[in-house]
Amino acid sequence: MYMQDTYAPKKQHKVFVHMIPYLLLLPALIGIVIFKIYPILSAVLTSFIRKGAFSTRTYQILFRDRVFWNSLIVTLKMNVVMIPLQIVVSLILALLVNTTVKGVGVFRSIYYLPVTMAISVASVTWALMMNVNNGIFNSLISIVGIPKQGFFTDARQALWCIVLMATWKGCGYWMMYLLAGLKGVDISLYESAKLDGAGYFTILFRITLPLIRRAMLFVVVANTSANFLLFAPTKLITEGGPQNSTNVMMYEVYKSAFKNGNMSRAGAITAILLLIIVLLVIAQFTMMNRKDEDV
Amino acid sequence: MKPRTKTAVQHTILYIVFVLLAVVALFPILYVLLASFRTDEEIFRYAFPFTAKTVFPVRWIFENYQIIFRDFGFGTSILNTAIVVMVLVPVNLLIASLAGFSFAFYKFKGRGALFAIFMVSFMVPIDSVALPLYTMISNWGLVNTRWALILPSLSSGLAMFLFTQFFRGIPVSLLEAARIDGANLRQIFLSIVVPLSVPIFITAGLMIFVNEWNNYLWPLLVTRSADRRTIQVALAYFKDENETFWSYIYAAATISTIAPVLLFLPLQKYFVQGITSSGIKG
Amino acid sequence: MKKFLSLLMAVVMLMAVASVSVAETNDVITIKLMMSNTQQTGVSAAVEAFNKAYEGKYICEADYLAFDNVFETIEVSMQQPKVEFDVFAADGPNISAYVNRGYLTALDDYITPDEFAAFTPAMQDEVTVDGKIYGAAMGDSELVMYYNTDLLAQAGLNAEELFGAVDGEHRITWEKLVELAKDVQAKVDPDGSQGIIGIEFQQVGRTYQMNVLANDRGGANIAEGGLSVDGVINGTPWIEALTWYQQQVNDGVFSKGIAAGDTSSYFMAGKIVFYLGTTALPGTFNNNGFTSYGFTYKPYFEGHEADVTTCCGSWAVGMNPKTDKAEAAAEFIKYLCIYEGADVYINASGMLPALSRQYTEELLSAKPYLAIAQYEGANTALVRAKTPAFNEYSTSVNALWENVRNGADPVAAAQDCVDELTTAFMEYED
Repeated sequence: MYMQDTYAPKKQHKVFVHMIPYLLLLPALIGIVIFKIYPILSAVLTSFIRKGAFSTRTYQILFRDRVFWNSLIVTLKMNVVMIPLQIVVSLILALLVNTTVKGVGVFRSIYYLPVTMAISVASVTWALMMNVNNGIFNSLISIVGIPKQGFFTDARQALWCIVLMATWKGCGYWMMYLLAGLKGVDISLYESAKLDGAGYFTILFRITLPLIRRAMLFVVVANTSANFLLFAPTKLITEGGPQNSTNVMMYEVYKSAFKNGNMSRAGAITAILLLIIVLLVIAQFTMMNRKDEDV
Repeated sequence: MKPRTKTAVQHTILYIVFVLLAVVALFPILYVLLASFRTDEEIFRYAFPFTAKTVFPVRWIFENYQIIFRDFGFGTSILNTAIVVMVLVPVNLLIASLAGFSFAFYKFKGRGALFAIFMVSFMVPIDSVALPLYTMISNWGLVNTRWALILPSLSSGLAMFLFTQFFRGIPVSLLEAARIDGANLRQIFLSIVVPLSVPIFITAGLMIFVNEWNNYLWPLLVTRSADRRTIQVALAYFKDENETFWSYIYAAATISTIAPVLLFLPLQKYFVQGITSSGIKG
Repeated sequence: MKKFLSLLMAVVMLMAVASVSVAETNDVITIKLMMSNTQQTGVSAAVEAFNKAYEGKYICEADYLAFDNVFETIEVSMQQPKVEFDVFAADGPNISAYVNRGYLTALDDYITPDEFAAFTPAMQDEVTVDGKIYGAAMGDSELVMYYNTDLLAQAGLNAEELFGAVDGEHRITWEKLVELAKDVQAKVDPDGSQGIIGIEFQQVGRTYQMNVLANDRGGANIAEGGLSVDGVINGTPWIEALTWYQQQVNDGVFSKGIAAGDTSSYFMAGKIVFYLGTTALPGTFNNNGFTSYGFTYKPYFEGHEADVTTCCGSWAVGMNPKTDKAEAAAEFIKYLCIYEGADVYINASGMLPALSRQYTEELLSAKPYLAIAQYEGANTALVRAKTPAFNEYSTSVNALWENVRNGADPVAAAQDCVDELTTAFMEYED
């Protein structure tokens, strides 16, 4: 349902009324186009330029580069696990802090603290905690008799350690959006359901989740985008290793742009990454949007 | 979920869960907090083997906090970040909520394409677009100014998306009813939409605040002098070619982590159950 | 009338003064310098001296940027048509890459052969690309071996006995050093709980110092021409060095899991017995009040006495090709690196001199470890791989050393590195 232009007596007024939606979004649009869209187009266009001339050689070299394909797989691998994991954990947190017990505000703030911690410091602290020699993790598990693990120095574990750290850091953030969504639900619906004898999980899956669908779509899309672009832990802790097991696509972009001076390659990988994210988001919209709400 | 009564057992279990989660959320931060009261030498001396001394200070010192303000100008960095955030949050909230209002309540030609443009804008990171963006800023002579920090973040596609999603939950009939009663757009927006979406405005404000607070690469590229640095950039300077001044980094990080949450704490009371359609009669 | 005349006089005088100062400020040329903040102490002293010496003619304004991000800023700034910096800090091994990207202009028109000869041979080599001079070295670095005297004493060893007779031609071997390290570790930290590390490089996991292990066995850094590593990194000396290194890590002699930026802190906290690092370290030790150290020449591999190598190289400064103040910029560069500025810089920063003439009796008696540096600089120094793809090179080779440290098979890892770099070098084909 949309706002109807119910009255427009004069012709000029009619035009003005028709223009309203455009005017409302104009300030935001201008900012986006100048500072985001134009640079994105510029970066993607650069991928087709080598030494000042148009060329597809960058893509030729890229598609023959084992390291690039590996980074694609690593990125997909990491996100296939991390995105659902973060959404589930954030949802659980949101449901928990949606209760109205005393002091819940304090707990909400505590769960938000990892979000405000600088990623550089968080990365370093987690690297310390998971240090192969003397980190707290290894010290605790060796008390119970489990041998010390390599964590960030083990090619099979490093990526999952990053997933763990990123989940710890991000869930408070996503929790807030889901909480805002939960706050919009009519609690009388819960009351009547309980009167009908519905249990907690029935209420959760039949009433709550469908009602916070819009908030969920936001979180799913934003989370997908943020996680595909995440590379700070890779840069700060593992530098892509061990053996390229944590070398995500964005780290390749960063290295190409800021270390190797290769803007063409950086633009190419950015374009591919953007394409992947867009396709995923379209799929998410298709699956989660209500029939009566088209984009 | 708000059941009318809670048994004592349920209550206790809930609190236990809360506390366990709080420990998980807090312990890396506690490590940083405690380490900010130690010297670098002490931190490394007790690194192995892992004992209480690895985490707890043996000798508590407070100089780290003094030094970062006195010798590294950390106060200026905090001020710069604060100024940038105080401009960005209101501007972003305003223009994103207006745009969200447009997408949520109007049908117009090109809506799909325009929405897509907003969406794509947050799917590309600053690292990919830093060079063309920098060229723009440099051509306008804005390198090493606060404008360079503010302008690129003035508009957020993500914030717009957030408002759109949540505004869609507000029944258009409410707005239509107000319109019939003679309210103009501004009144509709301010008296109906905003009060129903207070948690969203807070959440969106937080989003913008946090994104800007933690912004690292862009401020690093556009600031040149010490008096324009933001907090994250300042952290990069607690370093020498042959050693890193961890205790200073930890002190700065403690301040930078806790300050936003202190601001957030009082806003908790606005996270209330919204008035829903069944609450409005006639 | 009198009043009017005196007013007129005042106005005329004011205008005269103003025009003189305007004329003066019109003549003063400003040189913008970009420098790493880790060199701020030394460079700012030299800049101050320069501004005094050239008062009225040139003035240098410097921006000191965080060390980690000098490189990022150079990438973004140098690609602008606008000139933000006339002179900037170019880390030695990046010079070939910067020349390739058009960030540096040749200085042969400004530096005479005599002036250039003032630099040590290694420092001349570092800034030369295709026979042309593209920068001027501010300082140098060299590899020295430090040891913790407290730990040696605790293990009942006498440093004088061990190292008293060591000089450039009579060194200890790596094999013997490992034995000593294990001995100390066994005595001081028998159950390993103290985490005492036997031997470690300051810049562990970085090609800059780690390559020395391969060089010591006769391996080169890169193939002739600077655009291939095939036959070099997967060649015998490298495989032997990688295998030997992995063995020492597995035996607990070399460390695992600590990063380059923190090794100095561990050494100062008494956690490392033998520590190979640069000549800039004693400055850091002083700042932290750490005195329990000695120093000596680095070891060589048994049977490879002639191959012993040290790493060298440091910051240079270069000129932006787009600058319209080339004369002034060149003057500044020469002042900072060849003339009085160089002395101010070396004195204030404690860096290793890049000029032969600065190795004076005075300096060597004040800082005896510089005698080691001087010897090594003249006899064993090998500059880092000279290639326009240095950043790709260092990324892959750093990863190679770290992967082997963390348990990857040396032969497979070396071949992976070669394959990666072969693809990376393709970007530089004409």
